[in-house]
Amino acid sequence: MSSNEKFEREFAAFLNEEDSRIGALYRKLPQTEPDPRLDAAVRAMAHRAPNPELAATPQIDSSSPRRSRWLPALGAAAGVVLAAGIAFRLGPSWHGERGETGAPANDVIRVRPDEASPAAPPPLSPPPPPPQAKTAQAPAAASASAAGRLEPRGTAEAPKPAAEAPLRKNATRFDDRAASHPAGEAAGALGKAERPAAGGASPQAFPSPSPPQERKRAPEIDAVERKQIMTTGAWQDLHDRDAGEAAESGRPAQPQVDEKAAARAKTAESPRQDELRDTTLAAPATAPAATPAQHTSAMAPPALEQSAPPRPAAAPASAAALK
Amino acid sequence: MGAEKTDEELMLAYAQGDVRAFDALYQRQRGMLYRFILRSVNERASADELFQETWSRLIASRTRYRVESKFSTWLLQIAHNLIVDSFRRARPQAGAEETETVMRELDAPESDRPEPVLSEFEQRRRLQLALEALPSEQREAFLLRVEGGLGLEEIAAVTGAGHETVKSRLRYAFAKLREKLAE
Repeated sequence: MSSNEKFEREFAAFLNEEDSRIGALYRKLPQTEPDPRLDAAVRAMAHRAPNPELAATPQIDSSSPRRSRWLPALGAAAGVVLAAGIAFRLGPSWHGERGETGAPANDVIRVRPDEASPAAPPPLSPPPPPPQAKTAQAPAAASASAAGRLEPRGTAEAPKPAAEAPLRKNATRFDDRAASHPAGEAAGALGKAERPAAGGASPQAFPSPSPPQERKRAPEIDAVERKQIMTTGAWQDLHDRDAGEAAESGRPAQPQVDEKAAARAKTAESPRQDELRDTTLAAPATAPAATPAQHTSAMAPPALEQSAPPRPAAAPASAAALK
Repeated sequence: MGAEKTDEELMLAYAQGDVRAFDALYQRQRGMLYRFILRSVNERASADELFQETWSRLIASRTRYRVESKFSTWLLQIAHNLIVDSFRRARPQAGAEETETVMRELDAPESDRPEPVLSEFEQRRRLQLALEALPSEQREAFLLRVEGGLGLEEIAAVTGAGHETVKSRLRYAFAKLREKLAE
């Protein structure tokens, strides 16, 4: 056998995994293995891979998974609170555009003197009138408080004139009812007046007021009131004089125009003045129904009232009430 | 439990999160892989680094493992690529002194008779020196064959060479080793 053939036979055996001299000799070489430290490092690496949190949190950080779960929940809650706050802030204006009952805000202004009384500052809410005059004055007082509440809503310039016209009608209706019905029915009349307003069929002073709106009205009232203090003061003198004349003659006061001005001056008045005004306003109203123009003029600064159709008895009566 | 399953089954189990399957697989393959790397680079420090890096890459790609070939083939292919990269960065030249040191440290007691031990030691030394003298491609093919137990097709898959090229490399490597041992 030639060497070449021998080589080929040994090589074939080497390739076929058969026992060859070189293969056998190689297997006799030292069976080197990795160090134990190297083994531990590889095993630790392999154990960490399927559970990465175990590598970062060996023992003590049991709270970190809770913290990692806690933070997203806190962020979600903060987002919900923020969204609710934004919706709440936008809610009243959004409701103001649509109205709680779906009616346009321009046409529906609800008057809720009972709700407004506790929330509004003291000058805005008329104190309980005396028992004798209160019953008749309740509808008028309601319209007056509604008128007063109209002032803080002056920020809505567009609906204001429209609101004044329905308000005047409301006041007129209250006056008529006060004149025609006994005192005990005044509250019922007030409630009846409220209900149509709530239904949106008759004009109302305001949409259902919400506490933020009522709180918002106070600075607005003050700003409007401040503008009219001087004119109001002059007008009060006329009102007092007329109230005195009316009392002597027994004629009822004409509070329609006075109601609006009285409401405006509420913030600057003392409770005693409110009582006097209520007394005056409680008198049956015999003035003719005000026209929208008169309503507008009533809501306008007192200077405009001087150009309104003459109602001399109303102005002095209100002036007397203010005192 | 690990002895019952094949290497491929253990790897698939580890890919699903069974760390005990990895422990069994590691115990089977650690010696072969380490010796292949050590005898390829002829330097202990580089061998340790490459050994750990090989397992690191395997762990990182555990979810992508598919039973398309033997597990040892896949493992040795990772090691081969790392060895080639290390050769490109720095060419470790294991001198004769270092080879003697390695051989003395790694030599296991095999026989009581000094002459056979010396013979065998001498034979192993010559074989080790002959392996170091081989070209890297031939050496790697030889080690994949004798250490990894891979066939020609598998060696071709690991090295990226053709079947005949692998056979040729093995032929030349075998011939040189046989010549060195016959001297």
